[in-house]
Amino acid sequence: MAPRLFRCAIEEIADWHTHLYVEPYIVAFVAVAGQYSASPALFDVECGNIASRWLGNATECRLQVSWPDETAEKAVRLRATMQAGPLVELAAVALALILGNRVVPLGQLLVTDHGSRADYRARKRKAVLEVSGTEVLAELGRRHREKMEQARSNPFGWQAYVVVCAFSSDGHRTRFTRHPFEEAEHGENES
Amino acid sequence: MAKTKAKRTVPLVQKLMAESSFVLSKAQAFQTMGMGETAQTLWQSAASLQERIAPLLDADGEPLEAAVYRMSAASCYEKAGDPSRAVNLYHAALAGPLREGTRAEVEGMLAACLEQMKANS
Repeated sequence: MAPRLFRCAIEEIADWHTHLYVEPYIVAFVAVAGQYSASPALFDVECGNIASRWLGNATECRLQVSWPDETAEKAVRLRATMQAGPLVELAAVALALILGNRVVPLGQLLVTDHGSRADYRARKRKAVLEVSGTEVLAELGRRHREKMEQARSNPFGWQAYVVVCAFSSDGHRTRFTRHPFEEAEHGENES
Repeated sequence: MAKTKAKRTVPLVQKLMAESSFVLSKAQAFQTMGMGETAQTLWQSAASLQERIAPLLDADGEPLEAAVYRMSAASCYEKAGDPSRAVNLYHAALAGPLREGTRAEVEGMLAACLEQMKANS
């Protein structure tokens, strides 16, 4: 059976996450995804331990994300002024904000700052969300493990959702997983 | 009586958390985009909001979350170029019931902040 497809416009995340300033994430997303294709971009999402009414029992889905020309123009300017690494990180957050609203409705996401990193967290779900992005497809697994480790040490002792996105000319891939805190604490997670 | 008080503080906590998240996400985005100077006032605002949130969480019986907010406020003050306030808040965070790993992290952040203050004096 073909994976379920969710279609949206990247600008919609501003309506879904009114307590976050998402404009740079939207533009960064277009700056990165727009290098590989015109709008819309298609993402294969591999889901692990995700309980979602929309997803049902499926372990994969697809996202089709579109953007208008106006954002594409802003993206060109942003790409000219920003290094690729941070740009991809911002772009991955935009994608995570879709998954954390439409695939799993995490509710209001809040942010706290922990030195060199940020934690997004959903108080109602007692969950944190860790996000990362790369443009090297082969790095997806390693990056996901890193983020999982980071999520394990979340200061709240809450379950963790991890989203890692690999933007690639061979097709964009995303890994979206959930890790109960107890499981993470005892190192029994997936590799 | 205590219950009534706790109930009354919840909406204010939520309002401040939402406001703080918006300002903080803006600061983080600007910093990532290399607009550090623009971000500086935002770090200061975010820190101030989070400093206000922490005692409200204490009052709501959420001491761990309060301690994390103090840690976050300290980190923001540090980024805003106010290490003295950062040091005070790191100490305040360490007085709370942090998890072992987080405690070690905060101790490291405090040590780095003190080192920076020493280098600047």
